[in-house]
Amino acid sequence: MSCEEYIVWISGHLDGTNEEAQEQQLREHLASCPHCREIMNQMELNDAAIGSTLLEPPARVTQTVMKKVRAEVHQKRRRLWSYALSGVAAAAFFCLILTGALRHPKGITSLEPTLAPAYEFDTPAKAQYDLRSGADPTCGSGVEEGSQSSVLTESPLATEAPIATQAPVPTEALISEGSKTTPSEVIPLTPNCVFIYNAMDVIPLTPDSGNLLPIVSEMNEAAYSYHSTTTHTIVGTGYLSRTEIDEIEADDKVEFISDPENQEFMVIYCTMP
Amino acid sequence: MLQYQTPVYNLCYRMLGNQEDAADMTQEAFLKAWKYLNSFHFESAFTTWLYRLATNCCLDLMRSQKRRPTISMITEGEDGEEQTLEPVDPSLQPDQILIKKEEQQQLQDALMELDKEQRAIITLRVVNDLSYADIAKLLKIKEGTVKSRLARARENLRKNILQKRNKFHSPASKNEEGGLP
Repeated sequence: MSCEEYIVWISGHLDGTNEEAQEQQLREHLASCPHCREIMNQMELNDAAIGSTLLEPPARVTQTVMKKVRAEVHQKRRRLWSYALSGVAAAAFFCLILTGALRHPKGITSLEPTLAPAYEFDTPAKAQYDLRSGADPTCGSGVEEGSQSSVLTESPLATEAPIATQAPVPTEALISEGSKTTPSEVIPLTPNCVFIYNAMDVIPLTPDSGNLLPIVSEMNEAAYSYHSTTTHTIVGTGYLSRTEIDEIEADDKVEFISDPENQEFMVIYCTMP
Repeated sequence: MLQYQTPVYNLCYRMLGNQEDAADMTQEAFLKAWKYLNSFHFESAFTTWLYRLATNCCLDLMRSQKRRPTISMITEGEDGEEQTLEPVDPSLQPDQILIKKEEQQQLQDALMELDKEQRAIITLRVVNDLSYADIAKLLKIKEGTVKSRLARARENLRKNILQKRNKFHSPASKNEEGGLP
């Protein structure tokens, strides 16, 4: 073997990856080759020099990352809230319709006089007929019947006017009704998942992953290396209410415990606020 | 983040050769980690995954710049003043500190003369202490290739450093490159 070929083994020796036979042969070669001894010595010194000088990153690195993460989290939250509000409004709308239908002796058909024009205004003539004959008198308050029909007879487009004035009335009422009755927000934690508190993401874990626990504890340490005050212990799977999650603060430590019965694993990983 | 930022930053710094780019790529790597955390399925250690993101960020930057990064141990501090990269051993005498800084500069210069794959492999092994298996996964090469490339990287680095020292101590001297017999 030439000296050049021994370089791979010298490098392997520095990393401790040579097989025993290779080490033996390398030792014999080094004993008789001062040049390779010098090479090994220099490589060792270079490795030490590279590894020993660790620079501290500038403070802006953490600041910028956290700022961007926070901005994105807030954006996500805003989006979630807007979805939630839309959902609540829609739910309240249906509740109101159902309630109205149940309370009224004629059931849901009692709304027909109000809603019917919306579907039947095909022609100005028909619209005029419908308004005159079937309109609910309470809906036309403040507007003279004559003026409505004169507008409606002028153009088919004008038939949309009554719909636009009638429709928002119940919708607005429902939204304000919905905001009063915000349901308790429950965030589901599926089995084998990581729940990222601020990021609102659920990440599946592999339960049979051998290195799961050490890594999770490593992540835990990373998140809470600065301070830890209260310790929360979360066991098993299930649901965690918003109130329970809100009790966990960024300064707190969260312990991760697998469910002993079904071996399912649940983790709450809180990012900094 | 505090736990990982120093090794990630040093990985980026050794690969890119200047602090500004290293800080940018460290940020980039952490933001990607946060964004794609749900794609991390514990198939490798979290650190290996993070280093992979950082390495890819650096390689992408080098590819996009298509240039050798500026090599400098002198950098601008946060207050805008020039400062020399630390740390050096505070127990050293001023003349020893100067020599140490000079050596560090030579080392970084020599490192930057390696091609980017060799620079990545030596940094991941020596700075970040990754195993051959992890490096192989990270760079998508075989473990045997890691061993041979690492040996070549160390040898090239050694030759580069010798060349620089020879130039520094004797500018006229052109011989002695530490070649093999």
